[in-house]
Amino acid sequence: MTAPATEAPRTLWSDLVSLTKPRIISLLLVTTVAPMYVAGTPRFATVFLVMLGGYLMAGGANAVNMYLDRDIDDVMTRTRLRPIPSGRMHATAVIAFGVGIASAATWMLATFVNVLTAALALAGFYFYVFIYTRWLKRSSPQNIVIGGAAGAFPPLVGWAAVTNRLDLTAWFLFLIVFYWTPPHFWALALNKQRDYGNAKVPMAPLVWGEAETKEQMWWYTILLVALTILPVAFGAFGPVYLALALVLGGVLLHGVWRVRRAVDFAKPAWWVYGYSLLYLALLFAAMVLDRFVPLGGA
Amino acid sequence: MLQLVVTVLFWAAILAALVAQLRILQSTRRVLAAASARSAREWGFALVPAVALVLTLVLAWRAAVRPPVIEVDLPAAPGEVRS
Repeated sequence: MTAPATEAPRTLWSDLVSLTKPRIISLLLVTTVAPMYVAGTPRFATVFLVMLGGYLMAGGANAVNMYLDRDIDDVMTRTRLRPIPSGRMHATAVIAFGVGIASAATWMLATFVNVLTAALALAGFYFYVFIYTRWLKRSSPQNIVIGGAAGAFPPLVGWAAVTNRLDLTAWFLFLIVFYWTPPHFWALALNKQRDYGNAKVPMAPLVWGEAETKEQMWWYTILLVALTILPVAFGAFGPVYLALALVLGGVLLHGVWRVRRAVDFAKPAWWVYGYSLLYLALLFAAMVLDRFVPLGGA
Repeated sequence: MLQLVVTVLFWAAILAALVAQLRILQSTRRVLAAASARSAREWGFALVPAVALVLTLVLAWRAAVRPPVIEVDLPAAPGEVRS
């Protein structure tokens, strides 16, 4: 008699956590917290509040995304087991949860950090929900390109939390995540074309074809690696970061080159998808390392 | 020596970014030539990041060539009152 009673809340809790997509948020938090240590010397309480607020805001956006995409989540094998399509949660409860935690995050960041941080985090929420999910995802093969801006807000949030303003380095961090997004998600889309086709999501490989998608992946990666080097020239980072950015970028370029050249691209595309996650995390870690191990500025 | 390496890398990165952006626009032109629907909007989606990139590169160049600000604390002149 007691077993189901104790199991039910645990299932609800795990569903609530899964609505926030914690694995994706972990990378967003890296790109939020690392810029805080690049921008200055934040207090632990500020870092904790920004991490909590950032998690709740991104988690809220992900929950609202699952509400808006509940029809296609049921079609795609990758998303079929999510709380709404599997029938474990009601759609209304999911959107209430998403809006609720995003509202809590806005209040918390505005009250305990600063208004600019809260406004930027909320802008990221709106961009993801309305510009990406609601407008572009189902209407344009460039959904990932423009939608990538939503995922690029976290560095701005972290920077603003410490400095209460945005400068050129912060915008470079924004652009780095922005240009990282297309090669990362197109590597996934190349291998999940059937899923996206069933859901009628016009991902680039389905609309433009595989060859043109791989071509753009390559040029976006070159653009990304170039952008990671430029901040060194105006003194934002030093030689430690430069060396790591060149090595990490070189490995990514090699991986995308393999995708571009391969006829059977499944394996190299999965490799790029996985490595690009590691790449972004390590690149931002390199920025912090550069601050703590200064070997003489550029 | 390091400054020279950084300068070379800076201009190489600027060139690479511009060439890459140009090739992305060329690719977009090819795919839009094949599909006529909503091409103006798709061009907009391709051009907005390109314009933002050029603007950012100009700002990066201005920041890179800006002479360093050297603050010198001069001794006070006789009779001068410092706040």
